[in-house]
Amino acid sequence: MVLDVKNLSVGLGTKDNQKLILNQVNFSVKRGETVAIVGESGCGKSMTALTVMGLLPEPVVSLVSGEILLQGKNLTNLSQKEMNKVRGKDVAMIFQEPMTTLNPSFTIGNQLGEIFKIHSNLNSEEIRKKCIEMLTKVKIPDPEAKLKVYPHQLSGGMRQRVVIAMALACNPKVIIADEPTTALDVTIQAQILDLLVELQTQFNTTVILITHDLGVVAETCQRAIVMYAGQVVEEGSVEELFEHPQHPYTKGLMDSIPRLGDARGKLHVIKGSVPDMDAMPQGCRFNPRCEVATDICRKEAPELEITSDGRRVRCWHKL
Amino acid sequence: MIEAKLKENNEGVLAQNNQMPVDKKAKSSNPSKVYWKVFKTSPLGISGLVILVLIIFAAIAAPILAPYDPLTQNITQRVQGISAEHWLGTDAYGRDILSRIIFGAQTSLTVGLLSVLASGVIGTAIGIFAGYKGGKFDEILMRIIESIMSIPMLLLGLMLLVALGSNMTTLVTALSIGLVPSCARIARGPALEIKESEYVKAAIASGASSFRIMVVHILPNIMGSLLVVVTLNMASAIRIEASLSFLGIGIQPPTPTWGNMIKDSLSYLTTAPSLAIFPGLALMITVIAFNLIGDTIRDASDPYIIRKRG
Repeated sequence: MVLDVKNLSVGLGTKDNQKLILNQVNFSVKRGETVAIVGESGCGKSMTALTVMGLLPEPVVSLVSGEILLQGKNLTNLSQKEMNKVRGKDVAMIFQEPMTTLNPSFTIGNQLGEIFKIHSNLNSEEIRKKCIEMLTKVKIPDPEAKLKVYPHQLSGGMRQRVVIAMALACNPKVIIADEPTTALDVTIQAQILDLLVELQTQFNTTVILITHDLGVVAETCQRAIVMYAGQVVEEGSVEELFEHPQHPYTKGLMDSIPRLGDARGKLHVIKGSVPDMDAMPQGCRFNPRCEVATDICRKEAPELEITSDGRRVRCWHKL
Repeated sequence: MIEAKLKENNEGVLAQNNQMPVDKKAKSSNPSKVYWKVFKTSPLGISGLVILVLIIFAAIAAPILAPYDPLTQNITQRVQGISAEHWLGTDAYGRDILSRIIFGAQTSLTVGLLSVLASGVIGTAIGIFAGYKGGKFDEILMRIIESIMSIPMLLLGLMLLVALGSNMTTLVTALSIGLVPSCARIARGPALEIKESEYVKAAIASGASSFRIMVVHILPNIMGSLLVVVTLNMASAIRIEASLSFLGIGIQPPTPTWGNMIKDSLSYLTTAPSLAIFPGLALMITVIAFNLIGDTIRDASDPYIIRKRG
């Protein structure tokens, strides 16, 4: 296991008035694996990523309990200074918006070189060579000239390539990609995903892909973790999840994918919306929206059960 | 026949395509080049720059340029008007006014430069730190800055010079303290904004320390506006220094400064106004030059104005 997240709980607000936005999140990721974390907006998937990176906007949001083990090392115990050494080197992050993740007032070479300046002792000539090498790896044409270019002179896809190059620069063990293709158009999206998968195999990096695009999940990931209202509700291999979802929420997500051919009629939706943190329903958090909910669902919260190898579901009425 | 024509057409299109400029090398948008471009097209900016260069040259080459020693008194030739020997006349002690003005430039520029540099460094550091760290630091630092702001700079100078004695160090210290707020406030605003940006988050995610983010990401982003403030501060520093010297508590005679030259001329204002006019002009021109340069730098950091001027 490269990354082991154990009983992670994250709270919003001060100690006396704290609301858990992540509730006992558990998952682990193997080396070289691509795992998706899926769920609708507000389910806590981005928060999970920020927690792993140690980037929670404290004191508004803070870690309540849990461990994040990166190759056995607990990241939650590290000081800011020690965490700075981990970030970028062992865990890197790709953000959603390539337009804003790059500093507009610096050249690409400058920003890419920053990573090496922070994490290595290379001199400026070696850094330059490394930068060119990284830009070549992410397939940016004419990398040497691109070093002198400012972010606004590049297209969105090219910028995201630069961001990926920055994430990969120090060959991190884990890359967390928070909706890396959401801001790009579909053709570029496919290119970027291909690139990500290719580089992942090349570097043997672990990728945690955070997305709400199930198409992307099917295309790139081996395993997926479905989150709902701050909890993991189902986990399994992508094939299993797509073929036989066991949680009604996962099933609802799968049914909501528009398919070619059945264009007539209304699209399937999961009724209602994610419950408010203040008004979390009693029992199973999904029960008000669930089609198969019964009395037990409204009274008692189900546990996350292991149903088969690598498969976990949190439901009273597994499908 | 038709095929031939088609082929011809195709070749025409191809030829046209070849003539198209092959994606010109991305235009360099080096900030210093942008500044220079705006200066070139602004007659006021250019004249400010020319005047400043002349003043700096005069200050540096003062011992060579000045026709007389600025301190040598010559009672026989006191309070003279413009003449071939004394281009701008002489003062109450028979000292050459032109020489004194040239040496006065040294004092003005030194005092201005030192206080602007000190206040710039300290003010920017405070501003960035307050903005980036936020919370208690921000509250405390900004209240201190505001309390300094509430004291007029002239009064602050007066107080410190009276309390600590009139000398160059005290003068520069007083001016620096007075100028810190402007830099701190200019630096804090963008720091507040930039710390929320995605690229700062990305930088943190790649392991950058707080110090690094403040220096590498925030500082360069405020350089433009900081340059404007610093230039305008230079004008106020020179102005306040002259005022304090005029009041007799700044730089002490016999060291020539424009301020104390004007003060010395007061008793001759009706009989020999040139004694006051020339140092006054020197002061005015210098202050205007800095203001013109400041304005032009501001224009250069405004993308709308750059676009308008092409």
